[in-house]
Amino acid sequence: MAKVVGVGATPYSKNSAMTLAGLASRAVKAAVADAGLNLEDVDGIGSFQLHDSVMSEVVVTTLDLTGLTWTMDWLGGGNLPCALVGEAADAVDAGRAEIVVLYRAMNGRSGRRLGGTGQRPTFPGVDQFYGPPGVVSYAQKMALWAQHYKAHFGLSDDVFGPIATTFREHALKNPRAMMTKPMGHQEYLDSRWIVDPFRLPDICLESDGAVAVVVASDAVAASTRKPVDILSYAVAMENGAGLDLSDLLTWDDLTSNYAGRLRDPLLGRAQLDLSDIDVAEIYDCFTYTVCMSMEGLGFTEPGQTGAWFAAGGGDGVGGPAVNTHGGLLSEAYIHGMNHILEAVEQVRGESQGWQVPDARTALITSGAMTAGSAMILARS
Amino acid sequence: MSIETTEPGAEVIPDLDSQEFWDRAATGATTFSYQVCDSCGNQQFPPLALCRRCHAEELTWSDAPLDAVVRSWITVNHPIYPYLVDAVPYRVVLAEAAPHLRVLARWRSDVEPSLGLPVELAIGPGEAGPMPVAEPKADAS
Repeated sequence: MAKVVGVGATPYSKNSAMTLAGLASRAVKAAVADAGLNLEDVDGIGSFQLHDSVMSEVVVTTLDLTGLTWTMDWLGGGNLPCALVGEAADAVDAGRAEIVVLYRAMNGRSGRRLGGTGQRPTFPGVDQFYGPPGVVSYAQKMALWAQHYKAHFGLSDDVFGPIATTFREHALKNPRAMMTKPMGHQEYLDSRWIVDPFRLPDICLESDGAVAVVVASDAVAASTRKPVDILSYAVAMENGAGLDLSDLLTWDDLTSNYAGRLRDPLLGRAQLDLSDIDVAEIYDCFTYTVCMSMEGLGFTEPGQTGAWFAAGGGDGVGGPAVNTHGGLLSEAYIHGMNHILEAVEQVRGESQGWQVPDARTALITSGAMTAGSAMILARS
Repeated sequence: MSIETTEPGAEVIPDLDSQEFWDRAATGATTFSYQVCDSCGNQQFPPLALCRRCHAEELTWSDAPLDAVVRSWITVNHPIYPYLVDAVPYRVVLAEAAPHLRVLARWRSDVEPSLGLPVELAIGPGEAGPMPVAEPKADAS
């Protein structure tokens, strides 16, 4: 079975001072070097984007790659990192390519900011039913999910705080992380409301940067430094998934996202139980996303995720270590590809920040709302 | 807070499925309109090309009163765009009137929204043109 054999990243920042081609090519180069492979042997390339990055031919051209037999440029968002790596692994297993590199490159702060901030406000598609009453950002959309959850379970105004503060603690140990200031519960409470029920630290960062992951065949992997097994991956989408990635108008239950729908195939194919998972890198564009994903997977009880973190959860005691890098909330927003990079380094025992002792398995989720994917990696 | 003030106001871009909704709003109609399936009677919003329930292709617009309730709400404190600076803080509620009929509406009341609160839907003036608005049903507040 195909394995992950390399990861690479550019620095994460508010202003890369680089073109998207420059970011993508640097991350790809770093990941292939990390694997100990040669760029001229790469025969597959894939990426995803939301009209905010460079297509793979640009990287193929910049790095002068030849003889590619598998390519994929996928339109989508945070639902795609695990799906992209999983599809590439399937392609390798099917003999379509031997060494595939996957990347996500974005100037998400200095360039095109997701959710339209800084651009002319036009409301096409389903946004014609969000914009006029004043729902004009992803944070506002996710806040509608979060308020329903809070009201449904009767939760307090600070329930999401322990998620933000736990990930911040992890980020402080991570030299890649953009957030370097400590944040305790009082600092969380003192931060300003952006859209109630979200304060500023409930909302992810905006970042420039790129991450790349190399997937290779068993035969190639055997010659690499530290291959990582892909035990399983799964994708979920259902009726009511919405008219765009952030649409909630057609989704029935705002207390649950895609994660509960892919739990059984994900764990089943890996032949693992949740208790076997050492590290969980959970997609966290907002604090509330972590509640839905962890409850859907079964790591936490419905309505209890905030309390679980408040009681010290997420630090690897009584459950997995969660977002060991600081996540999208405190490391950087590389659209969830940074979660895969961190998971690979954790199971290799090579995290640049907080290394969980003897971490052997890592579960990664990609996506926040109705559609998503997930993957389980393990030390070879 | 630094917000540029040179951006133009917001613009709704209707499509063939939604044109009737915006045409009605543009005439000054204050009733909220939605699709009803000619085959199965399914009430539907946002408008779509087919009935979500039976997949029939013929749908008719109606503005008959609905029994809608609050499913969620937010209070927006930070204005993303200059044209919303004078509007904050404002509330938006997610209202549901049928399994396939949900609408986001500006909250026009001092009453705190709550799950299941019955609301009246209408169309009213907004910063970006006509918009859905909601308030508690008269006998519910």
